[in-house]
Amino acid sequence: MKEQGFFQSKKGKTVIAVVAIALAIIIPLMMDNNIIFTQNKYFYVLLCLIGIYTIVTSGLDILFGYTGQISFGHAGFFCIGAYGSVLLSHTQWGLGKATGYVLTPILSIFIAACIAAAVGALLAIPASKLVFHFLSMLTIAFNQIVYLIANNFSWLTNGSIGITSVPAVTLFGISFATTTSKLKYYYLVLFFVVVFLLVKTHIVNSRVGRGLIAIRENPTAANGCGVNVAKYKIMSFAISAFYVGFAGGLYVHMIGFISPDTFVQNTSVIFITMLLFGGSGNLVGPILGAAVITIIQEGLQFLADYRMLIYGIVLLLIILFQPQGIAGLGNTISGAVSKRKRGAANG
Amino acid sequence: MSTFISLLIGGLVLGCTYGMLSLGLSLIYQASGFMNFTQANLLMFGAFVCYQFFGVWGLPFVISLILSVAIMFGVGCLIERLVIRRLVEKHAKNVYVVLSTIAISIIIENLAMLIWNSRQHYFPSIFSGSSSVKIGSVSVGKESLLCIVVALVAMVALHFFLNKTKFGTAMRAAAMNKTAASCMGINVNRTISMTYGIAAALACLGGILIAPKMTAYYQVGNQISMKSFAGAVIGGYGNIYGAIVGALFVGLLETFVGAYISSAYKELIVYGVMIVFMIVKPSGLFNAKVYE
Amino acid sequence: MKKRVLSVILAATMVMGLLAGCSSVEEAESSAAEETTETESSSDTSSDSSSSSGEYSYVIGHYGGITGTTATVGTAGYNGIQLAIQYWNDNGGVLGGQIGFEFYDDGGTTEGAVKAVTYLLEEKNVDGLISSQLSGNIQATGDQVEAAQVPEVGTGMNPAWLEQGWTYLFRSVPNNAGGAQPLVDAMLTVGVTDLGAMIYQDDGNTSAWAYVTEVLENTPEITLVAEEQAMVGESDWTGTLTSILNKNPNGVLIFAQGEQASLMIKQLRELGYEGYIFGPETFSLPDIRNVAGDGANGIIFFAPHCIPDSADEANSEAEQEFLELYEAAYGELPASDVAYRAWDATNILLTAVEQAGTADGPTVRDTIANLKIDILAGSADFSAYDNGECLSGQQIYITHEGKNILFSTFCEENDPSLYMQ
Repeated sequence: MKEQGFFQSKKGKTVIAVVAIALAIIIPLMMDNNIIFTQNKYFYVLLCLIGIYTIVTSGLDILFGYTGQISFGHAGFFCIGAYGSVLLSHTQWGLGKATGYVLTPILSIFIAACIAAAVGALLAIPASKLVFHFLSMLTIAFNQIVYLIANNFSWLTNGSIGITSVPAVTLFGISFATTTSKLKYYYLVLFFVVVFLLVKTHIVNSRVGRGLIAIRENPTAANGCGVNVAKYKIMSFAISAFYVGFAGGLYVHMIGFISPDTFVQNTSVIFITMLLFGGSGNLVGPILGAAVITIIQEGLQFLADYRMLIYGIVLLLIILFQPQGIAGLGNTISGAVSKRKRGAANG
Repeated sequence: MSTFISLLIGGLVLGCTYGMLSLGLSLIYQASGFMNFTQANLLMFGAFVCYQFFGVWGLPFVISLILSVAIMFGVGCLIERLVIRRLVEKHAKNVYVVLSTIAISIIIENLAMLIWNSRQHYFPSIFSGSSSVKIGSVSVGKESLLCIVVALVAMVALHFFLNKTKFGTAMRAAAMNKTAASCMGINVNRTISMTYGIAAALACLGGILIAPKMTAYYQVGNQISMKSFAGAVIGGYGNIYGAIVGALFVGLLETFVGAYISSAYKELIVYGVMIVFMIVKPSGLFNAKVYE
Repeated sequence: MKKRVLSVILAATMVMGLLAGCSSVEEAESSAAEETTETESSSDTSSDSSSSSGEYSYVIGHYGGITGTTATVGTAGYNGIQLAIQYWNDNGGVLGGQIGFEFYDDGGTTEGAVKAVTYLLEEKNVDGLISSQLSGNIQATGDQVEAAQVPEVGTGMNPAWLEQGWTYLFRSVPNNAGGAQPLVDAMLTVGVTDLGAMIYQDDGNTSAWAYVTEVLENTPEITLVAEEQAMVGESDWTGTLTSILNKNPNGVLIFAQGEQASLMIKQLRELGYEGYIFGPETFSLPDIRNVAGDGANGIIFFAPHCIPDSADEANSEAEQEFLELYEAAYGELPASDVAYRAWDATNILLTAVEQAGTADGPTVRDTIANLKIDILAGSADFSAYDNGECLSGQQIYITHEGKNILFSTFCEENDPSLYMQ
């Protein structure tokens, strides 16, 4: 029988989550009023990005961590969410240009994410049959095609020149423009991070989640047990695409400018790096991955042109040291400690 | 007709370059079951090493080529020995091995940028005199012909190495069944290590052959990695003959679509064909196992 | 050379780290720390970025990509600014004190630029900004700079970013719209009637091409027989170039970044085309002639600056002084003319600060808006434009016998149709 500490129990986990959310709300607020540290808008920008990437990696985790399907093309969904939301909310492009009516940004993000989910479901129809390499290739090709469409369809997207003055999010009369207040946008992102993580927890603990895990562990057996493998894979793709598409929308309304360059395949590789680096198949891994990769990249700024080299080396060393992602770090350490204890007891 | 011939040659050169990479990808997959993202960066690095010998230090071309291929062979073995094997011993998931190759590719790319700076480096022409020859009315770069010839020779040599030598047979045996092979006294670790070395050497050869055309430049790898991966997949991942055919197919498709259909939608069409291909014939040209 | 040694040490450290097998995180950190100290001790020209801005009378912030896809150009700009600041500091600085420099590597991405500008404005409280040469990165951060009331001088040539109505933004070169008419005039001079075009699909080249097509529409003498596109990330254009040549043009226009343009010219020549090739300012990159070799002869391009083969061949004394300083500091001439633009940008900003007598953003902005100054690109006059431009029009150059010379000089000494097929 494995002993369960308080923090492993369901109640304990809830307490940790609530404390974490409370800290995520209070600390930046205190900083903004110079109670602890000082006001630091650069830090809020990083927090916003970490939040957005947490949604991306959590979405990717539903696909990879729970269903076992790899994707090297999620920047494609990110792109659909971002461009979709811009084209629905911008007065001079897309919907605004064609009809003169625009949607308010949060609604546009939601619809764009739905479009991303629909595309994800479509892509999943051929993808659900393929194994690892072929799936990698298919998703890479998908990413490239989305990127090329963004680049080539100039009448729709203004091509490589990009679209400026992306409208800011406004909710209940409150403007979330990042030029004036980055802290407000952070709270908006934080709200959605919490919502998406709750939904994710709900999904993975439901019947659907068990079906997905069954597919990851053994698709043939899952099929034998009455799990409709193809249907579940398509669902998993669609949910994952919705997460990433939504994050793309949040991203573009924060940056305020969009051009196809952001959505190259290398961005997909960064997404998958964040996920694997953090550790897949759990709630904390994606958060850690998004945060640590963002912070490492920022922390290495002082190295100037040696930055990316050192980043690669740090990445490699951590993989060699901890080949399950850093979310497992706690287990590795406690494992080592208990081994030593046991050793001491035996000796 | 003359247009057709120059397109054919252009497509073959491109296809052969992709081929050198997809061959390496397939070899590695066959031997160890891992995907690998470093091949294209090894190609770039190999071209730089040869540039250093040939372009900077002025050694004869053949010696530079042999030296750099040998060095890159060593680099390939070292990557396997120091990173891949360590991860395998730690029972890391497959995908973490893939992630480690992504990290290595970032390291190699930036190392090349720091050693040789971020500019394009002019690779001196291998042949003296005019850079092109006339075949009929078509003007063809001598280096393009060399690229095709050497690539074909390397592919045939690899075929004989794998099928006719004792070590090649051992490599194939180890790829087929590790346990059985080690029971027969084959040093499986060494054959896998050798495979990575051969893959790196092939990439290096590809890099050198394309360098007069594309220069030694630290970003070259990124531009061709996806297409060579596509070549390997279309051929049936893990089948070395399929890899060559797939790579040539991608190279020719790209060139002819660019010339006869549309330059703007060239990539779109190439990737579209790949997706259709995967839906219609997902096992690749040479029937790899694709379904779970 | 130092860099090379450093990299070898680094590689050795890495290999040793792996060999040792104890791949711990601490080790990575310590090796990174070692690296920093070496970097800092070896950097000869950089004003130390870690010192606080309090010691300086004026602090310039710069964001650009010295890693990633645009590293060559980004590094040239980075060097140009450092050189200019060094120059000012050696001559007594500004506002009675030394000038500080803060840099953030955006890796050439818009996300990086947003982080960079926030970092420079909020963390480092810079007094003035010099932007990256990438139009998208300037546009992504324009609102933020405007809100912070910090004057920014940009080095990109895309007209778009000065057309957004931002009042704190200025440009240190003529924009590329001014290159279209002279370039088409040059086509007429050499006798082009059928033009084939290949356009690299990035923002600078597509926008520059849009201006050329406008001029071409009003030029009945020239027919556009082929217009093809090259996508970002390609490296082989045999198919596309062949399809252009099939239309039998007697002039080919290539708008692309230097890295791609050099290969395109080379491949075009290998396919047997020997006539004139027309291009944008990126053709002034010395690497074009290195890569394309003899094939570079007969290329005609517009550019605000053209880097000579040696400092002695500079077009003006100011340029010669700049090139000599650059060569002394970095061991070679600039790899891209963005170094010129960055040098000019720094001089514009600092001259305005000196004239204004204050580091106050709005005052310096107003001073730049009325500034007349001789820079490497010519006699700049900001008061003649109301949107932050200071110059217009471009020089036309031709590569002839391995050297870049003014097209007008070439026409005086040679038959203009020399390279016609």
